This record gives sequence, structure tokens and C-alpha cells, in this order.
Amino acid sequence: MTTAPNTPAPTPRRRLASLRRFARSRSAVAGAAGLLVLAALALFAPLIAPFDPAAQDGEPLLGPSGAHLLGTDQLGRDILSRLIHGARASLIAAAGAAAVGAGIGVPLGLLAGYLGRWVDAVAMRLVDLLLAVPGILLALVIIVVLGPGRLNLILAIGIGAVPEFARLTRVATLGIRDRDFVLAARGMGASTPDTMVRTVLPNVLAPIVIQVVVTASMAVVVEAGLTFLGLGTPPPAPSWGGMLQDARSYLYQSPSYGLFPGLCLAATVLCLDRIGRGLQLAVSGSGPNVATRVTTGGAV
Amino acid sequence: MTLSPIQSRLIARRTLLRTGFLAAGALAGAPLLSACGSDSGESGGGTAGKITLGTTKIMQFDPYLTNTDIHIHSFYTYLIDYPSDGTYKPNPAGAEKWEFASDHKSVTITLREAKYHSGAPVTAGDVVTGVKRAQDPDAGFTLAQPTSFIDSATAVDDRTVRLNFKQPTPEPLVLDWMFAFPLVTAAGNTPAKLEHEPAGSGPFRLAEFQRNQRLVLKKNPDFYDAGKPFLDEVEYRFFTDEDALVAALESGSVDGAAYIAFRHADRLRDRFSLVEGNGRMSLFFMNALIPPFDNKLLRQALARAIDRERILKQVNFGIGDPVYTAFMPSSPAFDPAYLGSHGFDLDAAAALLEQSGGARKAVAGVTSGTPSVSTLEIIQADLKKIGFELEIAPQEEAAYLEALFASKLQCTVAAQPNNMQSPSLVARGRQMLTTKANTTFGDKVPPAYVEAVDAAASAITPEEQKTAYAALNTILVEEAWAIGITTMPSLFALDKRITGLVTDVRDYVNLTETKG
Amino acid sequence: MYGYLIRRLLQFAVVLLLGSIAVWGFTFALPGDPATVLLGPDASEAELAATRDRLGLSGSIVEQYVSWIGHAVAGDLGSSYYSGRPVVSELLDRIPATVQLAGFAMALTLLIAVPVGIAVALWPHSVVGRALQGYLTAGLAVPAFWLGLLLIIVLAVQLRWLPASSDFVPLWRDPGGALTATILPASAIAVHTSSVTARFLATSLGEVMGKDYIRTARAKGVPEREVIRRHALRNASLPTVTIVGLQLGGFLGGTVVIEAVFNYPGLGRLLYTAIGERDYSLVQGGVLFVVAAFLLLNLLVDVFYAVLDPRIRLT
Repeated sequence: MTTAPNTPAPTPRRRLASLRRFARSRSAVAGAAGLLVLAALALFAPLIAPFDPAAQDGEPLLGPSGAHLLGTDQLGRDILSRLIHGARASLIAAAGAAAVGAGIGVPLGLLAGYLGRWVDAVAMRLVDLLLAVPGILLALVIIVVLGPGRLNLILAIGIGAVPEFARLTRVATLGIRDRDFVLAARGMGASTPDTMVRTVLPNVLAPIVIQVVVTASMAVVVEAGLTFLGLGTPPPAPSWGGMLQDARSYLYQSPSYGLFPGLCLAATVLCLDRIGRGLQLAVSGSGPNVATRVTTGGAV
Repeated sequence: MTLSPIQSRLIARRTLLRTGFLAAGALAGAPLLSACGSDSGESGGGTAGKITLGTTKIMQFDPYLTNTDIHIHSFYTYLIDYPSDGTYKPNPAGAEKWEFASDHKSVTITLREAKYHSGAPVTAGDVVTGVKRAQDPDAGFTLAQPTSFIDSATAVDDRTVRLNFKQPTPEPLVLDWMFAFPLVTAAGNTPAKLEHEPAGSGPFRLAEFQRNQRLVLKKNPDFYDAGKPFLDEVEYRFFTDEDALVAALESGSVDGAAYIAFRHADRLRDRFSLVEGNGRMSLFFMNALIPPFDNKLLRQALARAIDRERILKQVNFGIGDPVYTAFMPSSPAFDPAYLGSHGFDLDAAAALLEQSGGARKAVAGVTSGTPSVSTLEIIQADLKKIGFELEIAPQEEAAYLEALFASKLQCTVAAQPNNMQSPSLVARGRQMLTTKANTTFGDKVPPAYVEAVDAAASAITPEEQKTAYAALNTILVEEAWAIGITTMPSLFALDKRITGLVTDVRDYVNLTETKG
Repeated sequence: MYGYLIRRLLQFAVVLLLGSIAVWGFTFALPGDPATVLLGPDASEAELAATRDRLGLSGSIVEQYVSWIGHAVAGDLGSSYYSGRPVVSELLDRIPATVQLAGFAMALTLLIAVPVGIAVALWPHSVVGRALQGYLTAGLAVPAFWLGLLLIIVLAVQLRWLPASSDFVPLWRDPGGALTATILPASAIAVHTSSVTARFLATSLGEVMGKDYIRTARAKGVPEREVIRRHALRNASLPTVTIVGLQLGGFLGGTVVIEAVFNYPGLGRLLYTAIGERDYSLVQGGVLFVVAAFLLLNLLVDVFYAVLDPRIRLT
């Protein structure tokens, strides 16, 4: 990992500077704004969506029209409403997977990096192993084992994101483990867990935050892929991946149907990518070496 | 590669279970059926006398199985044929003639003089061996229940065989059996051998088989019907995914696509000839063993909430007909009156729901990625209107089948085969409609149902049959655990130069008169 | 160097062993006893037991594992429950197809990523640079399987230029046929991976271009083309190699959805199906192979890296 481990300990002032740098990047702000819009859509979907996304009231497979702005699906449900509600599945998967990935990966990386020796060896071999199994296969097996359902879906995708978090945290921890402010904290009698959580963690947060964004965009695509395979979000809850799967079957009758969920997916990934880039620039001042996991996640 | 008998049996049973229940090739769980021929995708089967058909179905060479619809009729001759229009006029095939005893307790069958692919002559002894296998509950597979009326089979001479029945048996049941009974060499008639080597006398011979990749058939020059088949060669290519199969058809990689989904019909109609086979039926099953559907009134309530018209229109794209119980319109037990008296009526459903006092929610199991999911979504939306919450839980196929067989699913949508002209066949082989222990009733199969099936299997005169079939419908409707939805014709899209591809009433493809 | 190599090989062995245990554990956690799945509900207890015995499923999980790993070390991964063929043969059937698709996808990835990456790094503000940056963004955002669907609709079904279902045509037998059969899935994958790689390369190149030795080289009067080719690109390509290695590893068994979309007979497909069928021995053997291949690839990349940059060996 190439996250610069030699940056000095961030002070509030430095953080503010980073934030300012982020705010100055027009594309990053646009990405953040886009994501906010998406989040608002997801949160207030029942208020915004013109129809109940499960209501099969229209004629099936209508093209875009005044009544149904983006047309209807094969059961006569309003596509626009389903897209708006579908943002929930995607964003929940994104946030959940990032939380699971960070929740397991960061402590693992902290322990490995700070304690070193056998802890490091064991943790890193586990990480190597997780990294070696293609994310989509891993998620697939986990879902089959745990059974379908939203929570299991999040878990399945999140576990695939653990190794990146662990590696990043470990490298960053290694970089500051022997720095003065850490040694000073120890010298003042802080316990090992205390030092790790209070002193080390805040100083390795930057790459983790970026990884959260990267993981989120990966999760959006993997969720769609799994639902596309029929193992993701169960019906009738709309999900963009599920809509793509349906749309694939009706691409000829209703070509626009398949276009919109794909565009929504792309837009979400785009927003997250812009934010990730902006964060990277803000933190390191240089371009990103983001997106290692996206490489496999995106191909599914 | 050698397979132990038990192994081939496992595979056989497994595939039997699978194809019995699934309406369409699901992505999950279908074995790897990738097209992997050595010729390029563009080549197709252009030469006259040769066609290439794509399919997502798995293949076996054992005619005692049901999953063999697409090619098994090419390998084997059956005792008689029915016409492909879905009617039941018996035509001589492997049997030249047959004569029923006046007491309805036996039939004497004269075999046509014919040769197996191996060169050996067809003999009465082969039929005797075949009947014995069918009577063995461990090896008979789908033929076991339909054969149960036979007491013994004896070879009168080389080409004459006599079947003695356990009791007076109606002719239609015997004819259905003869229609489903394949001629197989006595020596080759074990599940283990048939697993990789067909042993029949049908119009085509096996030329090449790579499991789950391709199967090539060559014309049988010794076929009894001189001059047929017309085709010299048939190649099957396997696809895991139905959409990929249709795309291959449209880009010319295959000449025909078998068992494709209804939604393709409209689009393909202009460029290809579409053939509708006799197909199967889809049914909504409710599990009477566990709550909430151990409540009969609740089952009856849900039975009124199935909007067949809309399912026909939106899931089947207008293909197929509504059915109420497990009988096709061509069955003598098909009674369209129930569609009126017990059809879709949400008010009636709501009233029954109220009266049942049962729970207001249930979970439906289904294999993900099949049209059954859409069917359930329609039922779900209607039930929501009357305050019943149906949750759909799509599962990957292996988990679904396991839950289904363990009677753990509360309800599901699954396919049933055509029962031909003998309504008692409704109880054959399958899990939810058998008369002994079944997955929806366990050991408590309603006695009236068992009686009705037995009565249907022994009703000789037209009056007796009419009464028996009506009783069968009555009990099916009363107990309301298996609710017919629609027929599901099989759909083939073929290059326009291909003619004469038909399916018989079991939905088996018959290529004897196909030209390409 | 040897010490480093030995250490890495040891790690490789440890991870593989861990992997075999994990895969084993997972397959046993899958709902559905293969014997029940195979035999159906009406099977008697005796039949089930006989089947489990035959499949090697009787005995404690530890016993089974030990027996399996013993055979695995000798190259025997058991037989597929479903087809009855040895797992090794099943895998060998798919590996050429997978390697070919991975090779095509990677070749395309590099073919796009290298020029695009260089152009974006050198002329970020030109019209071309901006347009290419647009491509990078779009390529990253568009899910590969969706792109695959669109490609099939347009190129295979509407225009009929290319086959929609991608049979495996061995390159050594029919290079033209192999190209037409593989180009669509390879493109669907490569649009995404090339965006990642190109962006990576552009960033590294951008960093390197600001370095002192580049200025020195320019000051010495080395032609710009030479500066880029000999100095900048060589240094910037190192981190990119890591990404390419990871991507290549991901292609082995990680392109399940793409393979489903194109009906391509690859490894990912095989494993996906095997999981669905509860074909334990195939799942175990297959996943172990994918893990081993991925680790080996990474090992190669790391060793390559260590050869080029001696400092690596020390960490």
C-alpha cells in the first residue's frame, strides 16, 4: 500500500486544511452532493416516489410517458418509483459492507501493526487468504451458508472488504508505531489497548476513510451482481441489480428499462469515486492509488 | 470413467427431482451446461440434413427418467405413440398390435419386428425385463407408480408379451403406460448402464457425448419406419443460461432453441418458427403440515386469490391456459367449471380469510431467477390488498429443494407434468400429490384423496370414470393444497427451414419427422 | 534474496493450508447434505448412509479432512459427485478457457491502459486528456456485467457481428475464432480494469514526472521521448505491476457474472454451479486451485518487484 506513512500526526488545523482542500475540488464536491441527493432519495423514497414501488397498477412494459416517467416493468410497476426505492438497497449494502469491512479489518490491522510478531503473522496470513478468494465467490458462498436476506448480504460483501482495511491500517500503524507521540503516550503510562485506540487509531484514520468510500462503491456493484445472480435483495423490494436482471429479460421489448438501473448504478459509483479521489487529494496532496479491490469487485 | 450403479442412480434421482419441479432452467443449480464445441460459434449447422439445437436441460440416457424430454425419444421406441396434437389416439410403434382381455385383467401385445442400435432384435424378453425394473421401487423411477397396476409380464413367444393386471384396469391407463414404456435391451436395462449408453431402437443413434457440453446423434438406418428419420445428424449444445441460449439463436450459433421462456415469443415470432409443445402445469402448493397452512380454510382463501388471467398475460405472455386442479385441458378430468366457481375473487378470498381466523402472513419458497418468482409477486400483490402478507424468499436451488422435501416450505409454486388421459397418474412419482406419505401432508394424506385416486385407477365404464374424476376434483378443491395456475407449454424457436419438430403429450421432443 | 524467497514460499504454504481448512469448513457449513440432495426425501436411512460412505462423508470432519488433504498433496482432489469425473480433470477442462479469457482481458486492459495512462499524465489539461479522463471515470463507474449485456444486445443481436454466447475456442487451434469468441467478454471486463490501471499509471507517472531525476535528465538534454520511456515510465510502472497482478488473479474464478452473461465455460462458472449442486469435492478442489493460483501470481509479482527494488526484501 502506498499511503504515505510519513505524514506527521494530523492536528485539527491540518484536518481543517484537508477539508478545505476537499472543498476546493469541484468534482469531489459534486460527488458528495450527488451522494447526498441519492441518500435523500433513499431516505425519503416513500415521499418522493410517485407510486408504491410494489403496486402492480400499470400496464406492463410501458415506455416512458407522462404517467410513468420512466415507464413500467414487466408487472406494471412504476420504474421510476422502483429506482428511487432501489437506492435504499444499494446504499444500505454500501454503508453496511463498509461498516462490516472496517469493523473487522481495522482492529485486525491495528493489532497486527501495533503488536507485530505472531499476531501480525497470523493476521496477515488470514488477510492473504481472504484476498485470494475472489470477492464475488466469497460473497456467494457466505450467502449460501447464511441464507438469503439483507443482513446476510451486507455481511457477505463486507467480509470481502476486510483484507483491504486490515492491510491499510496495518501499514499506517507500522508507520507511526515508533514515532515520538506514540512512544510518549506509552511513556506516560497508557496501556496497550489505550494507546492503540486513543493515540494510534486517530492518526491512521485518513486512509481508512478513503477505503470506506472505495468499499462502498465496490459494495454497490457486488450487491447488484449478486442480486443479478438471484442471491441478493429478495423481491418485491426493488434493487438496481434485480431490476437489471429483470430488464435483461425484457431488453428487446423495453430497451429503456435496462438503461436506467444501469445508469443509477454508474452514477452512484461515480459519486463515490469522486469523493474518494477528493479525499485522497485532500489528505496526501497527490493523486489516488485507490481502488485495488474495485478491480475485482467491478468485474464480478 | 466408470460410475457405480448407486452413483448413477443418485444422479438420476437428483435430476428427476430437479426437473420435476422447475419450470425453467434456473441459473443457480443447473449444472455446467456450457456450449464448448470446437467449431466456432458462427458455423451453426448449416448443411442440409443436420441441425444444431441449443438447450439448457440436462441429459440422461435412461428412459425411466423424466428429465430426458429433449432427446430421449430419439434413442428409444415406445410401445405406442400418441399424436402430437395432444389427443390420445394410440398409434402402433414398438407394438404392432395389442388386445385387451374382455375382463380388463390383461393385455396381449405383439411387438413389431425391429432391431436395437446394437443390432440385436427386439424381443418379448426385453419387455419382461423392463417391466420388472419398472416394478422395482428403487430402479423404476417415474415408471414405478404408473406400472403398479401390472401384476406380471410373461413372454408368450419371441414377439408376444402378456401383461396380467392386479385388478380390472381401465384401457386409458394401460395405453398411457404403453405410451410411456420404452423398449430397452434386457442386458442394457440398468440405471448404471443407461447412464452413459442408451440401449434403444429409436430413430437416432448416439454418436458423441460430452457431458454438459454437447451431444451428437446420427440417423439410425435400421429404424423400423423405413425412410425415417429425415435428418442425418442432430447436435445438441448446452447452455447454462436461457438468455445466453436465445442470444446464441439470434446470432446464428444454433439453429433452434428448446424450452425457452415465454417472454421471447413475441420478439422471435417473425424471424423464427415457434413451436408450442404440450408442456406442463404450474401449481401453487400449500404445506398442510405446518402453520399457517395447516388451516384448511386459509388454504381455500388463498386458492381464491390467484389471478390466472394476469399471470397468463404478464408471466406467460399469453401462452398457455388456466387450470384449476392438476389436470391439463386435454385430460378427461379437466373441469373448467371450477375456474368460474372457484376462480380469482378477492372478496371471496377475504371472506374465507376472515372465517379461517388464521395467521395473516406466510413465506413462499422459490428458486431464484425462475418465472415462478414473478408468479408469486403477482399473488403477493393481490394478497396484500386483502391484508395477507406473503413474503417471497427466493433461494438457491439446492437449498430450495431440500427445504421443499423436508416439508419446511410454507408454500411454493412448482411445475407438474401432464397426467395424460389417466387422472390417477396425478399421484405418480411426485412429492406433493402422492397418495402415501407426501411432502404437504406427511402421513396424513386425506383418505378421501387416496380413495379418489384408487377409484380413478379402476374405473372401467365411462360412467364410473366420470364419477371418479369428479370425486378427484372435489377432494382436490376441498383440501386446497395444490392449486392449478396455468399450463406451461414448452416453447421452441427454430430456424424457419426446420419443420416437423413436435412434442408428444409428455412434452418429449420427437424428431422422427423433422427436416432441416 | 534466497532468504526472502524461502520466507515467501513458507507463507504461501501456510496460507494454502489455512485455505484448505477454511474451504473445508465452509463446504460443511453449506445447508443441504449432499446425500439428501442427491437421493431425495424418500431415501431410507440406510441408503443415505451408504451414499455418505461412498462420497467419503462418513467419519468425523477431522478424519475426512485429513484423508482429503493426504490425497490432495498427491494431486488427487477426489471426484465430482455429479459427473463422477476426477475433480482435477474437471478443472483442467476449464483452466484453458479461463486462462484464455484472462489473457485476452489483460492484453486489452494493457492495450488501453498504457497509452491512456500516459496521455492523461502528460497532457491532463488538453482536450484529449480530458476526454480520456472522461473514459476513465465512465469505465470505472459502469458495472462490467451491465456493459456485457449492452454489448450483446448491440453487437451480437442487433448487428450480428459477433456471437452472443462465447464458446471456448482454443487460441492454438483457431486464432481468429478465438478472438471473435472471446472479444466481447474480454472487452466488458477490460473497460473496467483498464480504467483502474490507467488511472493508477497516470498517478504514478504524474508523481514521477515531478521528481528530481527527471528534471536532471531533461537538464542534461535527454530528448523528452527518452525521458518518458527510459526514466519516468520505468519507475512509474512498478506500482502498476502490483495492480495488474491483482487483476489477473481476480480473473481466475472472479468473473462469475460475466461468464454467466456470456455463457462462457470458465472456472468461476464451474465453481458457482458446483456450489449450487453441493458438489463438495469440486468446490473444495476448485476454490483451492483459485486460491493457489492467486497466491502464486502475487508471489511472482512480489519476487519480480524484489528483484527490481532490493529495499522490498527487507520489509
